[in-house]
Amino acid sequence: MSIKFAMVILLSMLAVGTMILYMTKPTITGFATTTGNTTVVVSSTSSVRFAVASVDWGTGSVNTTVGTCTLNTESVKTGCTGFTVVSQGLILENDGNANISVTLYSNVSAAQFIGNGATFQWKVTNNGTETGSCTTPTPSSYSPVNVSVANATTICSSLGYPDANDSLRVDLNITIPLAAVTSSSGLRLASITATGT
Amino acid sequence: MRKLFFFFIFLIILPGIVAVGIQSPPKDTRIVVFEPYKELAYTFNLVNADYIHSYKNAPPELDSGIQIIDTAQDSGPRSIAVNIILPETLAPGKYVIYIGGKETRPGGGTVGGVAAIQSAITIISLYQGIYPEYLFTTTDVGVNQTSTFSMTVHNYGSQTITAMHAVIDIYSSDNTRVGTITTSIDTLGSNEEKTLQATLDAAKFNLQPGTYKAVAKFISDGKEYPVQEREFRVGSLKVDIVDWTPIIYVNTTNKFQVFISSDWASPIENVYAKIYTPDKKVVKTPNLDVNKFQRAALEGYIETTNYPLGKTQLDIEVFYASTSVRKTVQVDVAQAPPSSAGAKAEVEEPKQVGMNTTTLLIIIGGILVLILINILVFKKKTNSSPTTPPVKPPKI
Repeated sequence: MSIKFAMVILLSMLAVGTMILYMTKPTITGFATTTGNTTVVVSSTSSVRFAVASVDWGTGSVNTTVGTCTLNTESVKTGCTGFTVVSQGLILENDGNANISVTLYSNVSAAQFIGNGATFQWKVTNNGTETGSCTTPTPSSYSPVNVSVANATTICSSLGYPDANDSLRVDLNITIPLAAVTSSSGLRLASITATGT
Repeated sequence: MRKLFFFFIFLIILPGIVAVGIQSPPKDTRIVVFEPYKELAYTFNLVNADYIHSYKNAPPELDSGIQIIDTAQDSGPRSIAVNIILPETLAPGKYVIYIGGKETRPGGGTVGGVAAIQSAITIISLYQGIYPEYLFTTTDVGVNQTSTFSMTVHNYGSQTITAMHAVIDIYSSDNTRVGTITTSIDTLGSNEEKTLQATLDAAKFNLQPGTYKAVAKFISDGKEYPVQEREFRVGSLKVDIVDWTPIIYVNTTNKFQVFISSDWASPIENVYAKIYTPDKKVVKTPNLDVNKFQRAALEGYIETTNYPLGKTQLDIEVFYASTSVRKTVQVDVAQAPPSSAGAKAEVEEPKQVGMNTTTLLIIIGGILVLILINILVFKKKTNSSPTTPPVKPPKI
């Protein structure tokens, strides 16, 4: 960076700073002095965020010798050919300023997602060292996903909001039986909705 | 080995928008006692996403009387109005209406992880007489410490509860009753909520570390209600070294993690570790506050210049609450792998701040100082030139 360039930046900053000061200078108006009360209502903001929102196992197939391909987001890939080892689950954060309860549902069941005889499961834990995020993340072991809003699983009844303890990890586990893939191969997509209340 | 190839592409993909928020009116305005044809109006702000679909989710008894006025459905941050007209009659009970926003994406296509957020409006139709709903909660406790157990009661009845309290029995893991505690006696008005509390003194009942069960019985105006059970844990002031980085690489700077587990029922502040290396160096980790029963990682950086390859021993000492625990662990010293994503996770080189960055920082610092001087000089001038004329004394 040349000195000339630095000087230009410096002078620009000084000019902008001075302009701001002059623009915000108080001016005299015809309004008489008075006193009043102001009321501030601080509303709470509830907000959820997927800090990690994708899981992509890529492309692969079932090893016919094994007969079932198992994939999860904890680096498990067995009985599969191809596919990518995934070691990162979905990360969900409470980025509001109040505790929230969180439910989870999938738009597809295991059969709809993969095929008959398949499994599509999730489990929920506090993310990494943020062990104070939720007292009892549920389910703590892999359990079948719930489909539809009405059957949404409450994964945490009170997810905290302080940054040091405000996130959950949702791990996913799928098994693909050979029978499921012989009937229909192709692109498979699923959507998982986390709702904070 | 013959393999049949059936190709799948599994994608659970983010749509780019992965957050959504809602700003709600104060909670107390969203809890309403039912009155026939009562009209309610609220405004919510949907925030944090560019495409938000507003929605309502209400019990069938109330659904037809709820109207969301959203003039920009499926667009970005905005306010929505919610108007509610309650029906003529409503059976006693608690009804929850959810008003929310869910991420959407224009055009559909790829399916992805979706965030949704909602806010509750609660309509309470009171029961005749008294109608308590209660929730028992426990907290973990340390050996020789005290803890508070709570019974939160809400009276959904139209009459006042004149005397209520809770009796809590404590059971050990073999289901032996080890003690009983009780809350004070209190009253509770119609549609009011109160929390009854009882103190558990672990020393009084000689509770040793382990898991216990608390069984709470709620008694209101002489009537006993069904019991509620909760587990709680009695912890000891102890931190264990449970795991550590198994492999370090020679001739580089290694991030070394010590995983610890607290058995204490309260946070422990300023926990740190010292790692004693084979070349007689001591690496101290930063201090960490460890939550109750938390597993945490302490991190330090070990220089491994000229370390012999193979297995080596490190001594780890973890300091907490004026005491420490020490463990000798074995780690593998290996050749640094060729640079790859995986290797980078284990071996972290210290960051180098180059000349260019330093020069830039000096320039930025200089600019900030000059701006500060400019502001101070300007303020001085402003203070010395008052905007109102001085008040003169009245002439006599």
